[in-house]
Amino acid sequence: MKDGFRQSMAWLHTWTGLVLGWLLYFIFVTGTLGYLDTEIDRWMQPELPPAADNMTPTRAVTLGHDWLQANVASAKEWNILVPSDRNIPQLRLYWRDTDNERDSVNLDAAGEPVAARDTGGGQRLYRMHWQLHYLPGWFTGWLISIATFVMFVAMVTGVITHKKIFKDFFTFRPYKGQRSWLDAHNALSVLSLPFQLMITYSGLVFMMFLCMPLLISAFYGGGEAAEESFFDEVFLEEPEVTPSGEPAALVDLAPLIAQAEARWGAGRISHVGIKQPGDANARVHVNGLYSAGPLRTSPGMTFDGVTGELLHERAASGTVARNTRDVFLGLHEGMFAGPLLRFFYLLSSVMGTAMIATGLILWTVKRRQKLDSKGEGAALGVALVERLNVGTVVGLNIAVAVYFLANRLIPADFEGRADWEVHAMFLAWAAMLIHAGLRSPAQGWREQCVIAAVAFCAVPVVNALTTERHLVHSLAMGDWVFAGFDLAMIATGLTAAAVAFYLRGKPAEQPAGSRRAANRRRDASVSARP
Amino acid sequence: MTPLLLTASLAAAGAGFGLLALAMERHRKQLMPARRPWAPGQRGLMRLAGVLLLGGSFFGCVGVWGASIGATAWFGLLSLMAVAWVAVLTVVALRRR
Repeated sequence: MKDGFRQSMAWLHTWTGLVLGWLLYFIFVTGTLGYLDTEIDRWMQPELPPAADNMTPTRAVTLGHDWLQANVASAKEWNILVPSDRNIPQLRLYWRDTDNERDSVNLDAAGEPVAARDTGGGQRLYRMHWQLHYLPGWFTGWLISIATFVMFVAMVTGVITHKKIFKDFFTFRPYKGQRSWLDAHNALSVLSLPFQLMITYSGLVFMMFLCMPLLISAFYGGGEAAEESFFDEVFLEEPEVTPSGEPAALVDLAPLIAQAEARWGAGRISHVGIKQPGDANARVHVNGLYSAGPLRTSPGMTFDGVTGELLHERAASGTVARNTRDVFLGLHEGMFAGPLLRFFYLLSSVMGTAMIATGLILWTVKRRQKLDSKGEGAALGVALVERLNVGTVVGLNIAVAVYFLANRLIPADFEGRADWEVHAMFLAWAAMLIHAGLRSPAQGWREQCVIAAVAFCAVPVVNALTTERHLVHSLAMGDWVFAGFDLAMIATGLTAAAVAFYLRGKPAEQPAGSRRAANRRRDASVSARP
Repeated sequence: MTPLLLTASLAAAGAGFGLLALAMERHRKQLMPARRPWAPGQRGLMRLAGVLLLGGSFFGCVGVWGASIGATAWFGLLSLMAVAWVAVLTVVALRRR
């Protein structure tokens, strides 16, 4: 009975993992990069000065206000993002005009606008983590939700299937074919299991309003108005302000900032929003930092925009239900993570990505070995999965390198260049999938690793050729975001080169080998047994 | 104080996992091949000490980061140290061959 249960769990694990494995791999790669979103943003706009996070909020708000007043005085809403920590590295303004059109500008330390290339940046890459690309929103919402459910099922069934979690806790046996892939898959998942469970469960929490819409109607009643009041409560939307039509000078913002800083601590301000500036009904919203802890909300204060009177104040901590949700979301996004904790987040998410990759490869290695021992050549399903693995596990990473290369190589005045960065990425991925389809898996792995090595190593080279901020310059200036980015590209490229070198002329060691290879591998593992 | 406490947490987690690994016959053979297997009492003691060290590293993390961030960081620190031991044991085993 027990074995029967474990077997059906193993079956479920195998097939749920396979069917959505490539999509989950995409989600994990883009999610991993999401932990470096603002760092990637900064690298992708080399025109912007290095982070201005030593600017005081008062100074930032004064500069921002002066620019907005001088240039877009008629806008119905102003926003000033205060450079406060890694999450907001630059002084950035955005506004909505009377037609609801949004626009934005970055200011340097002197308050002058900085022209920077149009790019999707790290944010575009990160948004693919839950929005994918080229697909309608309602469809991706459901697809991502289903993938997250499946991920959760795969995690739980994986734990049940794994018979020796503690006995094999530290075990990795290299050079033993399928055994090694299973060991690697197990070690990667078990050693980062708390993170993987947290990230998957909290991923589901993100999707809860989509997946469980009826719960809202159950407590708030049906209809759009009820839904709206619910979302206002959840998302803490500041109500729209109707203009009185009477002009009135905006209150001096500096004392308001001082009041908020006295409350939350010096420098702990992330955003100042002004609704209907220049109108008698103007409102000023001041928001604190999101990075204080895993609770993903900030404290806020609302002031009368003319008299400067404090109208109401909101604590970061809300009701128990909202706090529960906010903690899960906060843990998922890790905006509070400093450098070391961010490194832990990266390590865990890279392990998750590798867990999916090894799982996908394991599926083919197992079946290829069985096919080969029966002397059967190709089975269509196995051959297809083998090639999709090559084109995704390596190919998607090449596509990411191409995204970065496109950022440097597409001319600054090229129409729609931000979109073409993404098109370049997906074209590269498509090319890699086609390449994988045309070559044998052994050739595919080797050749794509060579392509990945070249593509990643080319990134810092192209950066040096097209901008002033090359690696030596970044190191000399102590610009660790730029230097770190270039060094990470080189490290990734060298890793791919090492794998390609390892796979050279050794079909026996490539993940899903030919028949001869599999035989040799089996012989080796038999002889290695004591 | 904080760097010291952080180093202590890392060391405690590393030592804790090391003891847990060493208490296992498979890894005892890799790390101390000349030694005869542990007596059950010795093994129990090593496991207990290992678990206590891991627990100690938790309180170190809480000391460094505060309760909520510290608890999050502790899991990351455990993953790092466990992966490090897997790497060490793999290299040791390969060298012995």
